[in-house]
Amino acid sequence: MEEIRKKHFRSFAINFLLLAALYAIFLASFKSGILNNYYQGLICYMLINIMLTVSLNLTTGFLGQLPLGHAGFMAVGAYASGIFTKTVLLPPAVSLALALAISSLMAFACGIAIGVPALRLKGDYLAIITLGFGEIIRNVILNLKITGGTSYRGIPQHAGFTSIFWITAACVYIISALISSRHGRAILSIREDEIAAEACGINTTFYKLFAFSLSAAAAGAAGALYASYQTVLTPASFTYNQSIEMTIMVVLGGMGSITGSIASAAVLTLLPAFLSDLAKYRMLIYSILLIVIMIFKPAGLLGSREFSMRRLIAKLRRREAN
Amino acid sequence: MPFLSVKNLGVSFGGLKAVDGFSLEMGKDELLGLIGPNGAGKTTVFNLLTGVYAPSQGSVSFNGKIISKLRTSAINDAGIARTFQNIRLFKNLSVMDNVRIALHGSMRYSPLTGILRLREYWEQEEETDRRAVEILEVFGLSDAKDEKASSLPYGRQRKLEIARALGSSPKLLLLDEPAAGMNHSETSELMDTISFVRKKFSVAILLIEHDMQLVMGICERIVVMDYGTVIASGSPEEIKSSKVVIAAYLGE
Ligand SMILES: Nc1ncnc2c1ncn2[C@@H]1O[C@H](COP(=O)(O)OP(=O)(O)OP(=O)(O)O)[C@@H](O)[C@H]1O
Ligand SMILES: [Mg+2]
Repeated sequence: MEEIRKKHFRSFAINFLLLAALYAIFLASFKSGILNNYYQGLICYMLINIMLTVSLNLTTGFLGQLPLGHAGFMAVGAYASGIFTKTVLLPPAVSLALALAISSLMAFACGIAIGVPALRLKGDYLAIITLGFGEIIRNVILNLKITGGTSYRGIPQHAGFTSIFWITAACVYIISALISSRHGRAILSIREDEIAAEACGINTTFYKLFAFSLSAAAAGAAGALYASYQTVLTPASFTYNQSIEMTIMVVLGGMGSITGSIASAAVLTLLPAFLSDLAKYRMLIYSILLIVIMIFKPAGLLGSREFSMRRLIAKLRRREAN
Repeated sequence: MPFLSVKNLGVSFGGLKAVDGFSLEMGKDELLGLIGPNGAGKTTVFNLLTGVYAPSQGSVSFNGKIISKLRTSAINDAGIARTFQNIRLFKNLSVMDNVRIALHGSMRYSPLTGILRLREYWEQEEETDRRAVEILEVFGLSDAKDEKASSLPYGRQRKLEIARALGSSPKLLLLDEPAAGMNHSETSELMDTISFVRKKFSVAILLIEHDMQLVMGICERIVVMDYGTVIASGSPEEIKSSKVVIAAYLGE
């Protein structure tokens, strides 16, 4: 049994080193000018999208529910953090840390408030209620004084590539570690069969709410990073189109695959930027992609498979030995 | 107070009284058979006992506690586990995970402890794995522990469902047609397994079954249902020769 722990620790260490290397490469290319500011912004945007997609996958892929209000939770986090960092002046790191805490807590609270009534309903109803929530939030933001109407400016830029990179990594770690714990299995059992899960002693109401609110909290944190990086917020960045786009990223990558979410969020953020002519047709391309994937690979690109560095190394070794 | 005491239980669907005035008492180490013609209401009794349906009348007390108002998961916590007539496994999860999920309640670590992989996480997960393997071994399933539940052949899926039910360490196990779809030799093997499980896990068993070889073979007492209520109860010999029972089965 000790061995299992060691194995886990080893794969954790490998992943961490890999991540650190990736971070160093990005940082070096920003510092040396190989990648200019535009690309740095794009990479940060991609990381935030990864955070959103992975956290949405918790409810869509792992819990098996279909909410369409992720952009709403992100908006709550973004504005909470924007207003906080602009009005309470603190050292940047402290300010960002507090902003993240406040945003995720507020999004978490909204998750509970929406989740309690919405999660009793199934399928389409949950989608409709969460969609409605997202639109309500956007309209509230548009009409409140404190949120500045059509645009909220002058947010101090506390988040940069470094903080966004590591917070995204932490968020991905938290969600994948949760999935392989007893709480994660409880969430998976609900997706598989709610009645059987209850019969096994899983309080499905609690775990649905838990997964949904946690996913909302992560969206809130992503919103905080977005606000602290962009410095300007407009309600137009949080429409239901955004929620649907995040859902598409989850579905394309594979419901229930964290690796898939990361890959599809990365590709779908970067691709339109590189093929800027295609940007106009983005939604069209998404739709076609979605239809093609649904026909040929209905479980998404990766299904529920995960990439594992340890497994890859083992495979390569075996190949070398042969 | 009896171990399980069901009084005047009833529920209706639309106008149909699926269970009506059903009463039953059961001892702490009994192996009791519940039989009756198709549509008699046997499965519905299980659904009422486990809180899948809320009874419209009557009460259930179990182990000194009224459980008829509790939710299904709380009834499982109280010590009742079950299988389903039409298998309900966690299909896309591994055989091991199916049992691990039933062991959820025996673990105590918090989400934060789990995420941070603190010592309690490892200790409790290792203990869970040990117990899960032990249960799977009883059913000869430990060799398939990493396989997807849906990839198992039908007979093994039925066994896995019983294994999973035992995961939550129940005091009472409800089996809904465990031998359905099994051939003669599989059924005999299942009978041995049920008797073994009963002793090893010291669990009372209430069993719905159409296979008379099995019911008559292992149950000490049998309760017969028709039209949602109990029409006879007694030893296998008494049931075999009961006029009411024969009439019910012949549909008179
Ligand atoms: N959820 C439900 N909604 C409507 N009617 C139901 C429901 N569940 C059961 N019934 C009806 O209640 C009656 C009893 O059904 P039940 O499944 O309990 O019978 P059973 O004794 O288990 O039969 P079988 O031996 O065929 O499994 C049937 O007439 C069935 O159609
Ligand atoms: Mg039945």
